[in-house]
Amino acid sequence: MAATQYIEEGEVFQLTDRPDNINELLLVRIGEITLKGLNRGRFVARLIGNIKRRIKDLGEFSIVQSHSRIWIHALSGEPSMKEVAKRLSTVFGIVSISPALEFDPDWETLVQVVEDYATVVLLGKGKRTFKLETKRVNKSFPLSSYEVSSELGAKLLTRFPEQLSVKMIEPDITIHVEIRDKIYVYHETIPGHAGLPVGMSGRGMLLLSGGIDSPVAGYMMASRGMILEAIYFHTFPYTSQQALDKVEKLAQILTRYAGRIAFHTVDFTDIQLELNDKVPEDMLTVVMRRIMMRIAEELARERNAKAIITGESLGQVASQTAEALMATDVVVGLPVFRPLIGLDKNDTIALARKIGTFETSILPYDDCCTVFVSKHPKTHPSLADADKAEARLDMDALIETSREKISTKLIDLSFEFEESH
Amino acid sequence: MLGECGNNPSSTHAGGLRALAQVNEAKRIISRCLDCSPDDIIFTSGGTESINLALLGSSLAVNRRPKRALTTSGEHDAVIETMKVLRDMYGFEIDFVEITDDGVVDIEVLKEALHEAPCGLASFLVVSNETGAINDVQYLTTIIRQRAPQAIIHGDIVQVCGKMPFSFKRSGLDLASLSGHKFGAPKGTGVLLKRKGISISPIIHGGGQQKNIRSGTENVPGVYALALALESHVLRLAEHMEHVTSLRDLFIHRIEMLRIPHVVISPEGASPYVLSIAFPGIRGETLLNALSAEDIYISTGSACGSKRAGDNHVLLAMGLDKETILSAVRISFAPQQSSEDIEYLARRIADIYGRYAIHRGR
Repeated sequence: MAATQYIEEGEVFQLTDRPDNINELLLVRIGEITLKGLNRGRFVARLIGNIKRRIKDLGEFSIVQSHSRIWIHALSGEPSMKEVAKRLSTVFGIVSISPALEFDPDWETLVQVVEDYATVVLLGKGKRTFKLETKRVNKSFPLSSYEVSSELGAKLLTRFPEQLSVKMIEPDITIHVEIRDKIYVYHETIPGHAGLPVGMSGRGMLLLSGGIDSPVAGYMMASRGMILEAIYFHTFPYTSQQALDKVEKLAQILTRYAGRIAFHTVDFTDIQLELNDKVPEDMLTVVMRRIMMRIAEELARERNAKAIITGESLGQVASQTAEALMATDVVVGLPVFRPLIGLDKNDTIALARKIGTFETSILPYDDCCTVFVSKHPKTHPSLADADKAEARLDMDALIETSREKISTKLIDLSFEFEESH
Repeated sequence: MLGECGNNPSSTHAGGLRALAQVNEAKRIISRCLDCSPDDIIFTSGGTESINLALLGSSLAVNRRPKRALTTSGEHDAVIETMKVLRDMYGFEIDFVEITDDGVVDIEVLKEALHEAPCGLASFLVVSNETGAINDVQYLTTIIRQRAPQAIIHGDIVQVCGKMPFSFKRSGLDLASLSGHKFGAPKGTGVLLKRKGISISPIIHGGGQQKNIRSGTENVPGVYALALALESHVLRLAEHMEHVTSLRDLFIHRIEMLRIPHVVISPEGASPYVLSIAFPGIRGETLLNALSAEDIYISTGSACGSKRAGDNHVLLAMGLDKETILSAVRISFAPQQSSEDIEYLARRIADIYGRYAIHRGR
């Protein structure tokens, strides 16, 4: 076999001048979905659909499920498998991804491939330790898995005696060899975000503000398979165009995980002014939250969403005490999902950093919550307090007029933003 | 004209010599406008670079001067942040002299500060970018010179050039920083004026251009544009001043007529080119957003940064309360505006105020 050249790109490496008998592919592990019993077919079909949408602009692919895995081959267009793997790492339902080489079961080819492979991933970095891990599913292959590992290990040590040594526990690199109908060789496992494929759990209406919490709440519900729609209450000119742009950017970052998001903006200024006029100052925030919930519910029902999602965390601010949450919940009939309810702020921040929304969330544009905040809000409002505070409002008319103040924009999946940390 | 600007003024070929001639011509024009010698002029990328070069460059050039610098609490961030670098990286002690409620240097506090310990560097704003408050530059330099003869004195004249008469020779300043875009030259152009005999270490290193004070090929078209823009303003200084003053006065008059609650923050006798004014009941940011949607641009605080509402160190230093600072805006008046423009602005503010002002305390 002609010398095969490998080019390393970061941790994922690629093959150039690849001989016809060796294919590149991605092994995608799908974890939780495989436990889904009779529904498994639907989950897998949805996941494959989501994968296709995520990488369709990178080329043509064959995407096949078998043996608790999804196997992805490029059919045309010579796509960068690194780019493909990177994109897939944010698709919910995927536990991990390994870029691998595939070829017909043949000992000579296997030796050649592993030697070349080692040249790329092991050499030129000082003395490295490695081990081989072989799994033989195809029992017609003449050598046992133990024999394959030890023979290949011996070949590598003979060829690179100065640079390599074997280490069974925590080596620098583990080269995996899987012998099935074909042989697969890989060394790297890129973690995914796990969870369930988006689309398996219906649709959720996310109350998205410019803060740190709500994008994380959206991410968490999307990770349980919800399609996200977002609703933002815009209070121009009290809040700026930049504040709106920032929220839209947060929604755009979320598309990386959740796919396309319908983004609804409510022109909330007149309602806010009316509240300011007719609601006691210490109840302003609670009443404002109740109205936002009502508007979100109306829209959710119209859009066939099954739940409202918020980023509230118990006790974080005055409007997030148990009493205040009860006072807001009582006005809506849909379930309200609050995935951050028991999280510490630091945990939420860590998640925001992980998913790449933190840097945008901390940009200094006020949202309406900070402009119309009262100095001494009631922290433990009773339901009677809340009803009384709304007494001077014509609620039906208010909610009715709000429907004409909603504009909707589809935010498509986009990768035009910085890497997450 | 621009054709020659493509050549490098340090080159010795004919094109380079013509570019050099153009730089020299720009220096002659600027020297006439600001009453300085052409040799005093160092071209930079703007006010911020000039200030950095002045404060850092003069401090690093001479070691024997006291490592104590005086400035004021009303300065632009370019001075404040550069002073912090002198403090944190070069061991300087920095004293921020208070400003009065009128936004000018508090002379008594300055005298005390000069009396307390020897001082090697002083820097102050001649006209405040925030309020238009004017410091008497000759008076200040005299006071400083008498009490700290060894100190280098730097003036931030960004809001002065092209707007008011200014003589570098008579100012008593050793160094002065200005920015081209404030009088219509392209952004990215500026000048540091340096009195003869003052040593400056470069902060940008390279080919040794501009007497090895500021390396990098001169921005020939920018330099020339700066000179022409400055000249065109200086030639009409009195006329512009009269017109802009009338615009500012008209605006305040209109605001009063329209009964918009307001507090004029700019002091009596301030530069008419900038007006600091608060409209209690509406946040400055709300007014800015609403006007911006109609393509009318005003500022809150300093337009350079994206700070949080209420963070305005100058207004704080003038002793204003947080509510007033939150409702403060900065309106710039310019010679090309008409009285109709100003009437329109006042009416728009009245409408926006009527619609969006919030009065609490029911």
